[in-house]
Amino acid sequence: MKLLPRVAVAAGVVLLAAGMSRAQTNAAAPGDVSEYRLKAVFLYNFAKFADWPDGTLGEPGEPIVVGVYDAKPFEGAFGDLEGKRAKGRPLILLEGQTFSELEGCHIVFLNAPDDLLIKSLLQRLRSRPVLTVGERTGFCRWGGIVNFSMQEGRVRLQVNRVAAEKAGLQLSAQLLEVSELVDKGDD
Amino acid sequence: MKYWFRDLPIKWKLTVVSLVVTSSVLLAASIAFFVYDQVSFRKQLLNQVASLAGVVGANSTAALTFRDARVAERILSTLGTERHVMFSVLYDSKDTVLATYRRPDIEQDLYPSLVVPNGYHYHAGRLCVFAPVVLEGERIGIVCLIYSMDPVYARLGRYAAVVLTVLGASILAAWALVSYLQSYVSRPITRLMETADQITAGGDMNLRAEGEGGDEIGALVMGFNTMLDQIEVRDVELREHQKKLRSLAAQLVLTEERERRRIASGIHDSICQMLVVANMKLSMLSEYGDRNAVIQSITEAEDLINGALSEARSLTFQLSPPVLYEFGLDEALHRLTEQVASQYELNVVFEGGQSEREVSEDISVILYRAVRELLINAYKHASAECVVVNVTGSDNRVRIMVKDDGIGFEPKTSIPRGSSGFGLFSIRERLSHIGGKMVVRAAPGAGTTVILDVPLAADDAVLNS
Repeated sequence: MKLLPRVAVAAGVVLLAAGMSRAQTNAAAPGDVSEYRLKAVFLYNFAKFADWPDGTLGEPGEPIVVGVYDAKPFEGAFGDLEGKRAKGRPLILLEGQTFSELEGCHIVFLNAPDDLLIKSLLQRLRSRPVLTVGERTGFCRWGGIVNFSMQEGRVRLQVNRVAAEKAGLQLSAQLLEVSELVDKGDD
Repeated sequence: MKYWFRDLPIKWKLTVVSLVVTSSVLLAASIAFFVYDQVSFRKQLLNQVASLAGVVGANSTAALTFRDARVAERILSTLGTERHVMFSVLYDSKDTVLATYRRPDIEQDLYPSLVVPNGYHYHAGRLCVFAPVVLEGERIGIVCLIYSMDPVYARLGRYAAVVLTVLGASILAAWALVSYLQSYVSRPITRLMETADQITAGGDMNLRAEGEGGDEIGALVMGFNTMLDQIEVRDVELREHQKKLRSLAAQLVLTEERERRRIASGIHDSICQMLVVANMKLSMLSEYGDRNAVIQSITEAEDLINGALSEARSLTFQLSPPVLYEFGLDEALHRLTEQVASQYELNVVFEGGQSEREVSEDISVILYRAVRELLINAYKHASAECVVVNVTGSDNRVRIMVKDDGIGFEPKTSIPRGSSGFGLFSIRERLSHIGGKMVVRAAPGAGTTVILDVPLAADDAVLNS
């Protein structure tokens, strides 16, 4: 379990470039923002659109922990997100590969290279109040709650409300509105 | 304008003033309401649009967070139900456009020239409202709504139409009312003016203005009538005065004529006769050889001439009493009382010697003649037996009282009538001419007291006039 190193400078440059290009276009995912940067932002923001069962978040002020199986693809995209807050709590990032490492997290991004490993972890996390997020076709069918799916070069959300209910999580209507619902695992 | 208004009849002045006041007040009130309505309506509109933007923003949090332009556009398209929303933009946290909505009839995008997180501005007949989209205290985007000001202008037009209609109707109503009510003010004035015109044209002083009410106009009418009454009384007095003056002038001429005749006959009867005889006596001297006869003739001629001298002195005294010029008023009055007493067998008491100052000749003559007139009146008209003449004086006034025990008279009725009245009137006129006055106290059977009061320092100007 280790905290991600701060690689804020590179990410900052990217963000600055994005901010300056105030092109009045209808783009949802500007090309100059990397896929993993977007995924990092989305991961953090899920905390604002999901409600955990009472007591799971601990005492007020305790952090919401975002677990990532493999932080390498992010290349420091989390850098400037550190210290962000949701529901009045700080958000912290954890990298972990084992169930024991990930079971204490509130949001878990399962980007393991092996589908079997993902399925196995999902199997064990299914009944726990953990918002599982993936990036594989079929992730929701395997019992995952939210899946990033790339459509026309953009990151789209897929949500399995049944899995969320099983985990005891309440997803906001607004999140569902921007998501593709794959409750029956038809992704 | 000022002169134009000045020459308007009262009736029209009242109408114009009332209409100007009415329309000014109405207009001011309308403008105040108009401004208030516009301000509050704009405020209300702004609140409405701002809350609409807020709702849209609140619905767009997930679309903004997860950068879903499709959903964002769907949310914005719900604004189609608000027909006055012309254009709408959803910006992300970096003010980049995520989605827009454009009303179907609008041909081009209406992006605001300046994007602000919160606020509004008016531009080209449009209201541009910005509302922040906030998620958990963090601004994640901005909603911009471009709202047409058509409702404001439509309301403006309706309001103007209502105001003009109400204003027109009110002015008409006010005009009708004022036209009716103004006659209460203008009619008495018009009547007064007509009466004045009639009096001026016809000279009929018996005419009176009709007045009603206790207001200023009523008071004016009353004052006008009182003034007419006074003018009428003065007219009568003036005519009476003029009559008396004419009579006085005639009397003066007669008196002068009578006096002349008396003097002429006096001179003819006595002095001329004496001088003729004296002349005859002297001419006879040449015929007389006898010395004694000559001496007797001379003696007789001397007697005649002395008689003529004495007669001439007496006449002179009556014409103009030399004692007045030689010894002054006090002594002259004393001698006058003695003369009158002996001439008319009247008991006259003179109380004088009080006057310390010398009285000027002009005043002395007038007072002397006045006392003489009063003494003769007492004898002739009052049948008095005793008359007291009292002379007192101070530094600047002399006061002579002539009091008799005659039959007296009723002052108010008798003074201006008859010969005695004429005498008193004449004295009063002469005294007033030198700034003095005459007080008459009389009652039937109780005698008459006349007091002459004259200032010593009579104004030269008055005397000369």
